[in-house]
Amino acid sequence: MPAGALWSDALVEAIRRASISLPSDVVAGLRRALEGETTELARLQLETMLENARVARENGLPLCQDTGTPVFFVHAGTESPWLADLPGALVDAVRVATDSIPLRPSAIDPFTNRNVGNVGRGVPVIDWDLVPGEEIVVTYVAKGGGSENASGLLFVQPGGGSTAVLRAVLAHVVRVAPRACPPVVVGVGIGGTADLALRLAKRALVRRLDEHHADPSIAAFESELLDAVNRSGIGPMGLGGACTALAVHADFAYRHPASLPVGVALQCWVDRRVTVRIPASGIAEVVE
Amino acid sequence: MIRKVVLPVSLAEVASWCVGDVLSLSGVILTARDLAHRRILEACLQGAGERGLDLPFDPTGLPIFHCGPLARRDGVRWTITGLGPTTSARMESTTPAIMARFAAPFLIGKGGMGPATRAALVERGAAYLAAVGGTGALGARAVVEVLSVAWLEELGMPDAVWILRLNEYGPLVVTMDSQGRDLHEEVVRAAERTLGNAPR
Repeated sequence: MPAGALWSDALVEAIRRASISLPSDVVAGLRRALEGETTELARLQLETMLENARVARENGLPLCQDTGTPVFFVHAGTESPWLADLPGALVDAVRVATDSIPLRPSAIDPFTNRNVGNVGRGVPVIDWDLVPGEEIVVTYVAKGGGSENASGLLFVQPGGGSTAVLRAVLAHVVRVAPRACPPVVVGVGIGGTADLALRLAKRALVRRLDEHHADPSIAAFESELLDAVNRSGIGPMGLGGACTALAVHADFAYRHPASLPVGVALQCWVDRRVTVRIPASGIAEVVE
Repeated sequence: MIRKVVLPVSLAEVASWCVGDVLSLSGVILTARDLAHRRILEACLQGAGERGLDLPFDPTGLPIFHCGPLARRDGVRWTITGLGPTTSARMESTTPAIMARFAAPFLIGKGGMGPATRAALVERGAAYLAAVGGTGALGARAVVEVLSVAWLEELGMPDAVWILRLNEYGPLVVTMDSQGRDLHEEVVRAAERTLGNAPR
């Protein structure tokens, strides 16, 4: 399966690139944040982050020693000839990348505490979305443990509407952001069921920083929440400052009459994500 | 202005560090996170009798770095390819006992710790330094030598105890000092005041 081998290599390359090279929109976001900071400590944090991004890229070193839980967000075209090979290929790519980059072994049995590498029950995490067409689009995200611990599932009183949602998410983010390596990216999933709310929040993290929701009212919610989070003054690494979040990405699903679940997912400033497009030809393209 | 600290440090020097001071560090530290803290305390309990303390390393007087490094083995040599802080708050429940037993002059981590550690720092005249999270590549360049690694098989790479010699590792910000000041706490309190007063 020569063409298959081609796109398998692209998956490994995506993991390598994500691990060592910070996406250009995140670098730009950190630079903008630096311009907005006035205190010496906040500036020092952001300058060190930018310097680290440069050193990692130039030396081929992982950005962070926590190379993360490997997560794949897959938009799988139902007509793709590669669909059946994909699950195995994603797992193999993590195994190969763990040895070749190398990545830190970070998959641990929760009962025995045995560290097995980066492939184990449930890991890598694969999020499937079936779409029409022949193309498969895979986005790899390295999810650090500190930001994952800042996740939240909130149940807001349905009568309160979007104002209640905003207040609840704001209170949660301000409480957890200092431990999630801010400036963070905030994903918010509003409505649906509990698991769907969290899944929407996670999927929203994959967007580029400047990519707002297509619905103007959701986009306005994103901007309002971002402003409110940044007014908190938590700042880079929680040491005080103007920039606590680089972006807020929200999405929604219809809710049950009795229920308004809100999922919150945070990504640290080391917002590692790379996308691979696999057309029917199997000649894959790795894009930022 | 970065103050270059060379280990070992006296408690008098640590007492002169104030919240907001920026340091770099040269010398020997050990890494320990959740499982290592528990493992060290288990060894202390088991070694309370006549057998004495059974640890494969001596943590006495060494700074404790909350860190699970990324390392590569070339033959018998280890190279650190990622070094940076993990969230310190997870070590809150185990830290006071370990500080009392092994007299760490300071801790390094990120995100700050809780009231029990704050009290232990004041009592012992110790401090907490915040490293910049997510800067593992920069940190790796500051590692001069891997002196030893303990419990690698048992706990795995991130949770093992690594004893490392560093050269000018930093910037590190003093965020909890021996006088009881805690920058993390101050920032969170200020945020709560700001948001409490914010117009809705």
